[in-house]
Amino acid sequence: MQIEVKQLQKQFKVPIKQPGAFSTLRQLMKREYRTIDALKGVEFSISRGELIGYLGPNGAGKSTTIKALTGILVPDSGTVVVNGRVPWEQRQAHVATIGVVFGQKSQLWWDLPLSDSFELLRAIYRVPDDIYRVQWEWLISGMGIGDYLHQPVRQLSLGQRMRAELVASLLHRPEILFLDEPTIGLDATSKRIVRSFIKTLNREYGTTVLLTTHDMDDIEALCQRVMVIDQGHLAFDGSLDTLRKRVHNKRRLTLEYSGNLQFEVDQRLSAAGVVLLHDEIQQDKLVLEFDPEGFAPHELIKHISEGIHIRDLLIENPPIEEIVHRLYAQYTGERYVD
Amino acid sequence: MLSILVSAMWISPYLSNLKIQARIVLQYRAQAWAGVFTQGVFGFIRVSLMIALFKAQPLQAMSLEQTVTYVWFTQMLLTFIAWGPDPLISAMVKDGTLAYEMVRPVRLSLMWYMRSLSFRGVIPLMRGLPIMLIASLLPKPLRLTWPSIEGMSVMETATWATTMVLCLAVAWLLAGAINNFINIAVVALMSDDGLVRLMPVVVFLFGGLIMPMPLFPDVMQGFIKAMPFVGIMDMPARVFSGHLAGIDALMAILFQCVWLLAIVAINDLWLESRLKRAVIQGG
Repeated sequence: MQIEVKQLQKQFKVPIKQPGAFSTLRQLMKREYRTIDALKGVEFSISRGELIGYLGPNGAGKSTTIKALTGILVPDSGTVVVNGRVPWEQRQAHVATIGVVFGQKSQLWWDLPLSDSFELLRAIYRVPDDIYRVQWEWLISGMGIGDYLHQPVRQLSLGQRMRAELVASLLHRPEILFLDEPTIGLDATSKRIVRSFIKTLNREYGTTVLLTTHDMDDIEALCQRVMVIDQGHLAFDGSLDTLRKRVHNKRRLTLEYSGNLQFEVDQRLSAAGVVLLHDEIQQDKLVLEFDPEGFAPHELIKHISEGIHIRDLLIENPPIEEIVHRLYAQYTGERYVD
Repeated sequence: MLSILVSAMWISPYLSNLKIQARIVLQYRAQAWAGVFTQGVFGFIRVSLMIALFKAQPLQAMSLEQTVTYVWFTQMLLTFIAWGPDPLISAMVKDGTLAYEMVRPVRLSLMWYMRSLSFRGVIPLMRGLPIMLIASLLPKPLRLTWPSIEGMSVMETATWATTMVLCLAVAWLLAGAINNFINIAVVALMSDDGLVRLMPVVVFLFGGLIMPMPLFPDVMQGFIKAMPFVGIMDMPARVFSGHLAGIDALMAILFQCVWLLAIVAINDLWLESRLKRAVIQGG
């Protein structure tokens, strides 16, 4: 096992503002805090060479887990062992073997050309000549950043910059790569480039990758194994297919129609479990949720088009947030209320 | 050959950072040159103040000529003193980019120290030399007076020059360390306001920027002389004018070195311990 996490717990104390006229003054004397349980006993193992998606709603504890794994954060209790080391105890030795990309932060020097940032990183990680040359060759060409290597970072577009961030994190040939929302804000082309690169990195070079993302397409394109965290608990650890099938094996059909419509979910549809999502109804638009195993998509469309004039349609998975919330509801035994 | 040797050495990340930070500073050359004007004007104002002060009541600790020279010298070295914490560090703490720093296999306090040194090295060189030149050519009593070289032997001149260079070099290192202390305070207090804003005031008040140190009341002399801030500008200025010479100059350099080592050590231990408890923004 390359990474082993056992019973990871972390609490944060957040100051709260008390209500009342003189609360600000009172706060000078005594501060009141409430505790947030960020991690409540997270446990998992990762083998060398795995490519794992780490999902969960905002505030679930994803970043806290990553921070513990990278050695930035010291948990309250539990153990983390990465390559035989405890990250926060042997910080320098540990971080020399990992690469990190934080999607919303930048590690590149704003005023300097890319090449200068890379030069500094090379010195920081003390990368030997031969390794650096190899990394340089395949990273620069693989991510296609050769053209703007000598431009100041502030002149680059977001897509160009994200690719550069990825290169920067791999210059020292880390064994493990932590990616925290790497495709956030990117256009479709850049996303594709980044995804295919991560895939190559994992398949050909055996780099272990832990990917945190809100983008389901990232997960579907890359990850065989998915871990889902919600409210500090690891609610699921397995394949994506298993997750969907187990939790909520539905698709959503969004229809744009023309003309006047009184749409009703008729007998046949409701018997097959097709549900009209009332919350999603807009002008000339409606959304149906159905089980593709109960009612094949093309059959459904055919059936509906007999009653409505369809202008446009879209079939997609329900948002991951919903799957996760349903999952968590199941996990705690609560009933999920529609 | 040398670069291969350097890159294998333990210190290569830090030297590289020193170099890269200097490059960043040089990006803003226009700003550096503009500072010659502002620093020059302020020097003129301070000097005029001193002249007025001496007209009203001549002081005994230093002559007017020495005081004016002192003021010009400290004005040249103005950038040794920071007016606040490094804005990059403040930004890092606020937006969570500190996370990236913590993920590097280096001693952060030393990396930040290199950055502080770069800034405090490049800019005084760019601004200080022109100011010194101009100030030396002003009419009396505004002039920066060089020590009389004609009266000194070759040996004495060489000694003066060596102690001057040494004192300035250690002053530079000390100034960087003190500024780094303020930076680390930002991390420790998770804020670049409040207490952190008070620190630079203490530094330049007791460093000789408001008034030459010897002119402070006798009651305070003992206290001021014990603190490290005199080592930043005050001591180099007095070595220059000859106020501190011979053994006294060497003792001054020793004083600077002791404080330098102490502050660098404190910075390192303090930062490493605070980082363990730091809350990184962003989730």
